[in-house]
Amino acid sequence: MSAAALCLAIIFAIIAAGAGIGFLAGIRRRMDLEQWTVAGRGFGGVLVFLLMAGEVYTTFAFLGVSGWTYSRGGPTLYALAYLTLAYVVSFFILPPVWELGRRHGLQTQSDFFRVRYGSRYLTAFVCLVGIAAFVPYLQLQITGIGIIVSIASFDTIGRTPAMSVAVVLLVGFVFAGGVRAVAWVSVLKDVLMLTAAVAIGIGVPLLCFGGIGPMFAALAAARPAHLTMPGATTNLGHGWYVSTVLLSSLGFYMWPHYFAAAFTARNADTLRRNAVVMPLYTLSLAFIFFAGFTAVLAIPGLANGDLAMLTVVRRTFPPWFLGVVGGAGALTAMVPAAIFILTASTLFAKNLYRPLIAPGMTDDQVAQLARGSAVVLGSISLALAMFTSTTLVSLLLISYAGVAQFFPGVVLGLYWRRATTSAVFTGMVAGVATALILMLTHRDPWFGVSAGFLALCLNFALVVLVSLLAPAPHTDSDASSGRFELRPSVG
Amino acid sequence: MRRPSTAAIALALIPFTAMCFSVSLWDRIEPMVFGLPFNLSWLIAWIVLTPLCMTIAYRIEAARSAESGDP
Repeated sequence: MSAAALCLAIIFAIIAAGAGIGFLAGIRRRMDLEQWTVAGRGFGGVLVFLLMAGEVYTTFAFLGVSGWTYSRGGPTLYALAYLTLAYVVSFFILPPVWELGRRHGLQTQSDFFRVRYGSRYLTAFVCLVGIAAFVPYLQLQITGIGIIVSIASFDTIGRTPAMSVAVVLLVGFVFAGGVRAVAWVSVLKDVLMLTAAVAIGIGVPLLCFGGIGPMFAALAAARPAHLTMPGATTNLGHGWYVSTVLLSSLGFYMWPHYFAAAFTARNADTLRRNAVVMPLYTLSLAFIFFAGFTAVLAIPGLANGDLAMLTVVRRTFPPWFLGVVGGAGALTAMVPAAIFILTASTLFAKNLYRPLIAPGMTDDQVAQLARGSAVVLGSISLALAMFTSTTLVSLLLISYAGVAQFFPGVVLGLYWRRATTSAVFTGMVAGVATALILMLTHRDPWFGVSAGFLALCLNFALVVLVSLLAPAPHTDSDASSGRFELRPSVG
Repeated sequence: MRRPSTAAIALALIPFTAMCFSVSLWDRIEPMVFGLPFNLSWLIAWIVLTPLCMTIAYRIEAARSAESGDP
C-alpha cells in the first residue's frame, strides 16, 4: 500500500467513524424542536464540556493559530489569554442564562433577547447579525476541510470532492440527530485532536531541533523579535493585545452557538463547574504554538502561513500519522460546521420566519422547517466554498467584532434592571455599524486599539446613557435586593 | 438575576490582570522557564492558576446559594 493510499484510508475511516457516531446518537429518538436544538436539556458535565470544547477548537484554532505563530509570532499569544478568560466570563453569564432558559423554555440566543426585551425588531436584528456572522465562519470551516484533506492525502483527493463528502455527511447527522449528534461526534474529535496536538507539539520540535527547549533557544538567537509583540507585524503591540483580549473574551459567548450550548446542560451548576475547569483545555493550544514556532526556522518562506503546520508535519512524520492528523483536522472542521448549520437554521426558522411570516406555526412545523433549512444552508455554503477564494478570514474578524456587540444587551439584561429595550437597540446598532465601518475601511487596529473593542465601548456607554435617560422604574423589593423577574414572568 | 458577590468578581479579575492588563510587564523572552520564552511560560502558568482562582469563586457562590436557599 502506498503512503498516499494509507493516508487516504485512515482519513476516510476517521470521517466515516465520526459520521457513524453522529447518526447513531440521534437514532430512535423523536426529534422534536427541544430535542433537536438543546437535547432536552439533559447533558451532564462531561458532554457539555466536550460539546463546548468541540465547538471552540475549530480549524481556525488548528490552522489559524499555527499560521499566525508562523507568520506573525508574538501577537498570537492573545489566543491563549482570551480563550482562558472567556471561560472566566462564562462563569458569570451562562448559569443565569440557563436559569432563564429553563424558566421560559429558551432554545436560542434570540429567544433570550425576545423574553428580556420584548421587542420583535431587536430580536430580528440580533438574529440577522448572528446568521450573517456565521456565513464566513461556516465557509472557512468547509474550505479548511478541503485544504486539510488534500494536503494530508498527498494531493490525491481534490478539495472539491473532500468538501462535498464532508458536507453531505455533516448535514446528514445534523438533520438526523441535532445537537445530540454534534456532541457525540465531538467526543471522537476531541480525543483525536488532543492526541494529534500533543504529538505534533512535542514531535515536530524534537525531530527538527532535538526538543522544545533547543528549538526556542535557536529561535531566540536567530529571530528574537518574532517571540514578543509586535512580532513580525508593525501594529499589533500591547494596546492591540489588551483591547483584543478584552473584546474576544467578553464577546466569546455571544456567538449564538456557544450561547445556545448552555441550554443543553442539565443544571446551572454544571455550567459553573465547567467554567472553572475549561481553561485547562487551553493547554492543548500551547502545543500548536510549539509547532508553529518550529516551522519559522524549519520551513521558512511559505507564502500561506495557514499551511505551516500541515507542511511541517508532512516533512517530519511518517505518512500514517499524517492520515490521523488529516482525519482529526477534517472532524475539527466538521463539528463546528455542523453546529453553525444547526444554530443558524434554528434561528432562521424560530426567530425570523415564524414571528415575521407565519405566526401560526406549531413547534413541530418549526422543527421541520429548521431541518429543511439545514440542508439548504449546507448546500449554499458548499457552493460558496467551491466558487470563492479564501480571503474570508478578514470577514470572519468582522463577524467576531459584530457578535461581541451583543455583550452589553446580555450582561446588563441579566444584572441591571434599568437596561431598556431602546437603549440596548441603540447601542447595538451603533456598535455593529462602528465595527463595520472601521474594519471595512481598514482601520483595525485604529490608533493601536482593536476596532471591535472601540465599538464595544461606544455600545456599552450608549446602553448605560440611554437607559439612565428613561424614567427610573418603581423601586420594589425585587429591585432593592438586586433581582428582577423577566416578563412574562412564569414560575 | 442576583448579582455575583464582590469577592467572586475580584477573584475573576486576578486572571484578567495577570493575562491581559499587565502584558507590558511580562512580554519578554528572558528569563526562559523550562526552555520556554518568559511570555509563553507566564501565560501557560496562568492557564493552570485560573481554575484555582475560579474554584474559590465557585465555593463562595455555592455557599451563598445554599444560604439563600436558591438552587
